[in-house]
Amino acid sequence: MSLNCKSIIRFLLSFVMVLMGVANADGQSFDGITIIEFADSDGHAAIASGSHIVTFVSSRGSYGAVVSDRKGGHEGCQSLAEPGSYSGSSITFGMAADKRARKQGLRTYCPSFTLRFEDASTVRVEAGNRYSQRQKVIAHIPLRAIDFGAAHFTRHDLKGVVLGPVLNDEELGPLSRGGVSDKYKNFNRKVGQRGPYPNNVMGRAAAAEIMGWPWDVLFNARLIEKFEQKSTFESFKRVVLKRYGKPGSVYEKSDYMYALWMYDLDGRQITLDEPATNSCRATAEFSMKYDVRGWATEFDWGPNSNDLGPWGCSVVMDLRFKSGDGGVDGYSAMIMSGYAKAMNHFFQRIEQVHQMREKVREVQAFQPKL
Amino acid sequence: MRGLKILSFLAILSFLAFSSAADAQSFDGVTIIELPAEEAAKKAIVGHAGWARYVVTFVTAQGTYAAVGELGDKSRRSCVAWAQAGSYTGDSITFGLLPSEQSMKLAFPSICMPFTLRFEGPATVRVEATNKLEPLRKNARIVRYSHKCKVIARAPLIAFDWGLPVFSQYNIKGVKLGPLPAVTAGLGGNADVKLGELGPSHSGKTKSFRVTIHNPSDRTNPTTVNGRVVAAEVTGWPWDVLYGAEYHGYFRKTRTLSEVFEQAVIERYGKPSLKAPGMRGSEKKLYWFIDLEGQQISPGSVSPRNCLGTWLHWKDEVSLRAINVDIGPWACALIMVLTHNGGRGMVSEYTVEATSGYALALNHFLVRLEEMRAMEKKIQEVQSYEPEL
Repeated sequence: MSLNCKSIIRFLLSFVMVLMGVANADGQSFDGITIIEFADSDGHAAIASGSHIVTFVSSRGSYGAVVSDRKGGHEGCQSLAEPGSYSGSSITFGMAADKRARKQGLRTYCPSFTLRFEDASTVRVEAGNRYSQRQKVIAHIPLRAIDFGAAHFTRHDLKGVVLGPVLNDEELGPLSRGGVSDKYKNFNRKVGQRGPYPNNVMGRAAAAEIMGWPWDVLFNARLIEKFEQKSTFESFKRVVLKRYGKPGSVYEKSDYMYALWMYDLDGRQITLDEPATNSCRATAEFSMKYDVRGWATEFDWGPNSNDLGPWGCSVVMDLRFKSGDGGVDGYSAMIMSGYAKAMNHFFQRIEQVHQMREKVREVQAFQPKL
Repeated sequence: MRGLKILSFLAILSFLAFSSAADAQSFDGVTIIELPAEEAAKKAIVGHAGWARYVVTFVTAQGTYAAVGELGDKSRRSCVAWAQAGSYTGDSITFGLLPSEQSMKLAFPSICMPFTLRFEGPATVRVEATNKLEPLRKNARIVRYSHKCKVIARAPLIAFDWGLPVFSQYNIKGVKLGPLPAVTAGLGGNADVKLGELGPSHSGKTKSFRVTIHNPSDRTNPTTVNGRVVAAEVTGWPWDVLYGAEYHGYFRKTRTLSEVFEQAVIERYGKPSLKAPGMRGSEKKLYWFIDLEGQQISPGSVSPRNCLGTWLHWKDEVSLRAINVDIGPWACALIMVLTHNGGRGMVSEYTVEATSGYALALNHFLVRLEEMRAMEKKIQEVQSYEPEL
């Protein structure tokens, strides 16, 4: 990487630091992303049904939701913080309004509820005098600077494509239309050729115009590479380990291998044995699939409609290959910055829920003339 | 012609020369072995689903080849192999590779697991193998195979003499099998010869051949003899060689009585080795079998040293020269087959085909050696290749 590129990335890092929350930054602050267990039925009756409460608190707005880790469900609710309610260790989300007014299409604006840290791993959840219960904090991810120039980012490149700022606009498509999913820009770079077919790295970038960053930032990328020449399973495995280092998780069955590398926000590689107090390990769990013996067999790279994802991971990479007909003739790999993807997601959530709140207010204020 | 004959003899000798002993119990050339206890043989040698009724080997200085399967007319090869370096002692040889992803899955058929063949008598070979069943699985169990097996055919490497009288005797419309210069020299000035390009076809890697003999008394109906030629670039011989020829004749104006026709045939080619019904009810087939020493043989003289031990595998072939499987009439210098439609008393058409089983075998197995070399290279390439990510 040229000195110029490095200095550009360093500049971006200092910019990211500006995004850090305005509130006090002690251990019991809601700054950043907080994921709280929320599995009791009284709480569901008092606020909304789901499995977790997720909050995102930043100087650009604060978002709180009840979500479900069950895919495809429409339960739960979404809301913004009540202005002036944030004290650092406590914050109130939602709105006191009739449930019918809060329901907007398939989504529901949350009723008023307050979260208050009681200690680093416990939050009291209150909904007026209807509900008051202590709940466990699954993960807390403060806003912080991410060094896209760090060794683990550059090591986990795909044919030279590294997560982080995209310096060549020609590699990016226009901003997607969004809708239910987040907006992003498609990334595409040709990295090779196999016969008549190009090998491309494709990915998604968070748009500068949404994030307020000076550049678009690539937060995930995928490569499916095919080789003209096959190699043995063992040889290919050796090359993978040499190229990307020892994985944090390896699933090997017969002639198939699935490897997973995960790095927390400090750039430290973690394994599946990492304690759940590590926010990368805890949040990666939302994307992980296991076989019956407990081996990680799949990482879900899909869109995150439910606010749950590997937000505490600076880099996640998976790579899979198969020795189908006597040798390995290709592999597929994906890299993602969970944290960068989270930023792209939650900043857009704030905008979406802001519009929702205005509609609820409209319904509340509307006086029909007969 | 005499010079040409001597040249062919010497050239073939140099091609056939092999380092090991050429005694009666050598594996030089083609050996066809029948495997008893097929299921056990399959488990110990093939290592996966398939068949294991026969082993066919081809051993020369140019390379080695073995196939295991339901070979012959069914042509189902379960696995193939080349000999392990240094394993050939003349009367014993070891084929196959220790199983790996590449040997089992890279090519079809797969590569056989190691097995050893050892002559225990002129017509008896012990086949031994100790391998893992489903070898790519963890904790695969060991299976053993050790059986005395019958040799049903041996076509040793010999100096093949195209000057044998039988090749002249069994010519078809003046076209005799042998080196093309000698074939064409024997044709009259009214014959056109057309030789095709070398190319793989259903009948192997050969060239097509056609002689058109113009008849001054009937310009519209020339006599056509079709054939197949083994190429010098495959065999390493100095010339292309016509190893199979066929003529289809019609009696356009007057049919002939069967016994009259057969008498004329016998006068022309001698008493056949065998008469048999053809595929259709009206067909009859007459066979002449000539062993590698140039002697006509009868069905009673079945021996591994002639082609009659494999008769069941090729007796129903429509065209012997198109055989492209591992069991064929390899241990016969010449087979002539005459098929006529006089089964019900009158003959109106007939086909006569002459094939050198031995020349066909050499060409067939030399092409198999090319396959083995390509397969070995492919496996080595995969096993030595390190991709760049």
